[in-house]
Amino acid sequence: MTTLKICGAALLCAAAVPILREMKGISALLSAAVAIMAAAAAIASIYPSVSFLVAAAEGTAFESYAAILLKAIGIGYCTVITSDACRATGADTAASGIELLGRAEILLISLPLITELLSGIAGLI
Amino acid sequence: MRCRGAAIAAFILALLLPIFSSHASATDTYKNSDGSAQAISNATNDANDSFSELRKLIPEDVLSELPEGIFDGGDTSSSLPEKIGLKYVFGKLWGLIKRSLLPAAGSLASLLGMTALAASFGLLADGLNCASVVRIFTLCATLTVACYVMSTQVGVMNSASLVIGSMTAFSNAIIPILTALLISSGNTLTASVTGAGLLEFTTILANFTQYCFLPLCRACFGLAIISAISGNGHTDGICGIVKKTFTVTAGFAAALFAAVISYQTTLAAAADSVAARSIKYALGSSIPVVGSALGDAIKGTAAGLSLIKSGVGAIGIVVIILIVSPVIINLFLNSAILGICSAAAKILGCDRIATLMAELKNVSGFILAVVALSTVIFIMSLAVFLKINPALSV
Repeated sequence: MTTLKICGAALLCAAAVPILREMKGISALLSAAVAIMAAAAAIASIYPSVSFLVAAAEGTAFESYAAILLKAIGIGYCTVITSDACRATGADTAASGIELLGRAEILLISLPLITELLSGIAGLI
Repeated sequence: MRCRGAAIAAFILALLLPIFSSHASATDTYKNSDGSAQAISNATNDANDSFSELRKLIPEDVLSELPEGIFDGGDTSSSLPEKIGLKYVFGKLWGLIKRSLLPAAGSLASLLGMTALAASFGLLADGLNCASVVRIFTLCATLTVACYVMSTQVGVMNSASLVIGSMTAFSNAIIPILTALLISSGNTLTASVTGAGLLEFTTILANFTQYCFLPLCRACFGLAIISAISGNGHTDGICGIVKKTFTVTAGFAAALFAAVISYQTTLAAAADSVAARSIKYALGSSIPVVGSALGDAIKGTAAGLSLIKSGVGAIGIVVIILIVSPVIINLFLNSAILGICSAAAKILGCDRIATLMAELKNVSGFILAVVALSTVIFIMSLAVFLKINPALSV
């Protein structure tokens, strides 16, 4: 039902944007708002699947790794949604910056993994 | 005059014999009318010393696996074929396989779980319409799986290294016992040739493990991770090439070693046999009345010593099998697990994880090849020892 509502909102937005093109900025903001709304709905619909995966990983040997993956996917989604919204409003530079920030953040949370890997290989001596 | 010279020579040889036969004295038997029986009795009594010496060298966990009373009693050697025969060895191997299956199933399940988790998150990441973020997320997922796999593989590699070390230590300890028994049987040349060759091999193996095996494993492991992370396919199969090259070279060297040891031993045993025959002929023909009895006594002593040598050698082979089998079974199961996970990752569309698993399978196969090759060489060398006939029994 939510999907239908979001799709309807997106169609309305698609119809309104050509009409509002004359009003500078409004059409871009509308597009961004619909994109953010759709992404929020997507996150809400993904949430049960993700929480199932996290619950499945709980108590297993790879629980800590699942947490890292969850963080990384969360950062990825936030980054892409924000950069898309920025692009919709014409702020391409900000979008690129956000993407760079997201990549750096994912790399940062991967650093303990790299350290663990290197120390593991060194431990083979 | 010539006859007196021969008698003196025979007497000197008879005096020298106890030096060569440290366990059973030929002069003791000379005093008894039933020399052969006494010699066998002496040898059997000394068997207990050899077995108790051997017992000290066996690792505790392996010692508990050996049959009860294997080192007790005077007739140990004669009852050995029943106690540590084919049925016993295969029974133990089956027991080890059964014991290893459950942990291996757990390991497979957790590794498959990790792969499935990474694949699921990968599917979620596919929804992102930003290639650079997807790439970095894939890297993160691959690193996560690599870390998890490594935590399981380090133990496997270390156990392989440890088992080669303990096998080398056991062989280094058992070789002098077998060499001493060979010298006692009159196979002085054979003992020096085979014992020295085998000790040389154990030294080479120990050095190889320390300076070549582990660094090579580490390099292969690093390459496997690099090939998985880079994802460009340029480093794929390097571990396979290293494994193939190394196993072919090591296999050829091992075959060469086995061949040289075998023919050297055959030649040396023949030379020892001729020498012993000459001594016995000199004793039999030059010492009046008891000359032939002394010859029989020597024969009996040699038979007793041969029995002890066979017992010690057989126990040695069984101990090596028991030391190595758990690790070989684990490595075999580990290779199978990595192969299954590689296939599963490919099915789930995680090509990098599939590459990582396939490369690690190659590393595991390489370790398996090294351990199996070392074991075969040790067992073959001990079998060569067992096959040597005592020179004094001819």
